[in-house]
Amino acid sequence: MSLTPDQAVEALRDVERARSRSIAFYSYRVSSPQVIMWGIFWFIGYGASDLMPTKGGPIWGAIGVAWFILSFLFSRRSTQKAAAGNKGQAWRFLVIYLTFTVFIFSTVAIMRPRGAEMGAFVPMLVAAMYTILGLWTGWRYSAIGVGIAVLTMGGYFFLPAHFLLWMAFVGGGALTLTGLWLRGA
Amino acid sequence: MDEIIHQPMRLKIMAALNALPGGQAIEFPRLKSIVEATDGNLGAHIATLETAGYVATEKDFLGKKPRTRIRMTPVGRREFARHVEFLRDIIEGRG
Repeated sequence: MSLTPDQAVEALRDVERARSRSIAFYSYRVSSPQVIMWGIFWFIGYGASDLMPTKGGPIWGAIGVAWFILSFLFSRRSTQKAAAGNKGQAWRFLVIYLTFTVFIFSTVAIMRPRGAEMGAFVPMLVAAMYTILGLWTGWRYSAIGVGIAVLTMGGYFFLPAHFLLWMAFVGGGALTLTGLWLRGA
Repeated sequence: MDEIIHQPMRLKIMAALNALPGGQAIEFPRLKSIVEATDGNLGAHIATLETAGYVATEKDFLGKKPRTRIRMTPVGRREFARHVEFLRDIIEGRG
């Protein structure tokens, strides 16, 4: 059996489509624990910040450290599973973490957001990252990004008095459910 | 041309497995979603690929639930790469 160039193009298109879907589904599965973890951290961080408004800095500092350690462990576990194909991932994660830490601290030092402003700033940054990531990896990430942005902006403008509680329950809950949604993909 | 790989559904299965990093296995339901196949259809094509030595299946239990995972073998990876090269050759007029 011989193939025409058009048939070969069509076959390669199928290959590319299956490859992209496979990468997206794999990525969903690997990232779902991190998204669930974020949901739990948001619940703890925003909830504790609402209860103890003066302790916001130490609370989020501790969460940042816990997030770094757990994310690094998740990253290493997925790297070990992927064997030789993915050895640079743990280091890449470290660089990404440091880049965003420096970016957030620098921006906060310049703009000095307080309270709800600060509470909205980081989620909006995370929302932008997920929305952009989704363009390359899988539409579910873009859906997460848009969802986080809508919830954050909605809470900030329509429920300013209860913004931190809103982010704890609605934001944290939505992220946790989203992580389960990714795991089931 | 590799007739076993070239069949459209099997080509998609091979492409999906080839995209997994480090030769990881994938669960049957997930592969079914990726290639958009039915249970019976996917099972039949995997059996064909397994007979050819291109994929390997692992059956175990996750708790009480039976689980089937599929991974690409080194032979499958090599033959898939060869087939994709063959398709590119046709497009570029070398085939």
